[in-house]
Amino acid sequence: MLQPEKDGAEPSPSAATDLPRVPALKEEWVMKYAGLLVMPAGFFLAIAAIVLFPDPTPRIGFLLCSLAVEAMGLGVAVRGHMEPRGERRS
Amino acid sequence: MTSSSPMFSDTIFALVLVLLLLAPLSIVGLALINTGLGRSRSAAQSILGSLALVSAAGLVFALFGATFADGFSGAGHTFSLAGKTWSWAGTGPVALSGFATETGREQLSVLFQFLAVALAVLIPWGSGADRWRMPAGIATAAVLAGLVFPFVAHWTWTTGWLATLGANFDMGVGFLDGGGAGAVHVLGGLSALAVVWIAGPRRGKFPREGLSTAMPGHNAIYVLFGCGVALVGWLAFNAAGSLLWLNAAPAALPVVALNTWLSASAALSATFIITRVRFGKPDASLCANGWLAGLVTSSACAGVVTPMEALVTGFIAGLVTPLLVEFLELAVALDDPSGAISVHAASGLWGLFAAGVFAPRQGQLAAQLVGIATLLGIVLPLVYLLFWLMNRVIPFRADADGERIGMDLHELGGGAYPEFVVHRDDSYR
Repeated sequence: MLQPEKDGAEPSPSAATDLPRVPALKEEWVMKYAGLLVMPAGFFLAIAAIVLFPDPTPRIGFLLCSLAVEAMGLGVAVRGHMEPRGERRS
Repeated sequence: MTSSSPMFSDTIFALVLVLLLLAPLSIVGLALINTGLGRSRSAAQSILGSLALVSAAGLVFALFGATFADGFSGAGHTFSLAGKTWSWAGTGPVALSGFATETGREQLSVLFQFLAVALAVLIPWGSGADRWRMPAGIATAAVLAGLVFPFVAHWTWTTGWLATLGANFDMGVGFLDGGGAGAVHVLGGLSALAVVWIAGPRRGKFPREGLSTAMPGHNAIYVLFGCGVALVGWLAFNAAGSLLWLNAAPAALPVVALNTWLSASAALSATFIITRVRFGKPDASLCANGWLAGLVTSSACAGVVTPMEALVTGFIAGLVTPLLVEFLELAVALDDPSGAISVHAASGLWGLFAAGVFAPRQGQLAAQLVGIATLLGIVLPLVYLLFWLMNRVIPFRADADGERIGMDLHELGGGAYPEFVVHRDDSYR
């Protein structure tokens, strides 16, 4: 339940095709850092909400959107950090 | 608070000073909780590490951090945007020079921040238990105290741009965080997340087969006693914060204290019920997490809500915390022995949001949302970047052998309980 065991459940692509196995590390790194880079974008949206919308209702709406962007970034970063778990297991 | 805040009378000065002398009990409580939730073979390293981290944070904050956190030497470092002045850092004296000649309020403000930074740096220490090296922990404490906390504290509490959102943009009274839910707990909780990501899980925590390995804390007494000790510290922190940052009158302090207690009690009740329902028996460590989550929530709310609202916010924190602890471990594979991410980060964010919902001022919710967006959008990436760089210089994680024999023997050369029989550890498979 905790972790779908990639290397246990699926045959290695390199074994099937005799091609050198491409490590998944690059993808993980992209996810980690893409997620963390998206989060400041949400912050700047919040600043834009303060400056651009003096009216409370659109301001709150825009602020909620900025938090949604940050939540998305956090989700991607969390997902990126989940990937290498199998390799760290003892 | 702004620099035009009223001066303190001698009576209020004495009252705040006494409260701040009690506030370190929250640090002691947290150190006990962190130690109890770790393993017995890392207990001495945990408690010595707590002292070392607090010392390092205090030294660095006194030398550099207080300069940037300052809110009394004019507007500080500012820039202009949309016709408004945004203060992003203080310009206080270096190394607390001239501290003795400052006004009583200024001195107490610095003392509050001094204690707050000590509490903040302890939060990630519990999350890295059993594998995080003490030199790396001390280095992160220094970085947090010198490069991160001062700015967040300035923005939140003094003349910073978050605190002046009300005056500049008609958003309530600006970002409200009397007891440090954001500047202390969310900062500490997000730092804990960065530490857990960078250090990785304890060996054997997530085995190749099956569920994650349960690694229960070694001393429930430390944990629960720490909760009791922390309550006293929290009462003092929230009361002092209300006087310093929310300009509350002394007559409001009984409500602040009651709110703090009610929030923690409601949270504990909720966690007690939910663990009783889910596991058949109440879980001591999760109940401790629930209690602490209620206290963290009260850090944001105690000075601005009614007792019944404090009860509701605490109850919700107590309901969510055990579920989040379980989710983070089982679904996200985060090994957080002290539950700091759920307890401090999530409950702190919830408290800040709830303060905006319940505070009877127009535009307050917007100010709270801006504060939350700042903590998530700036603080987490910044802390992660700093810790990631630091990990290259001072590796966070102990080697496999050190982790196997325990951090006490590995780093200190002796255990916390030399007369105890050490059992074979079945989690190393």
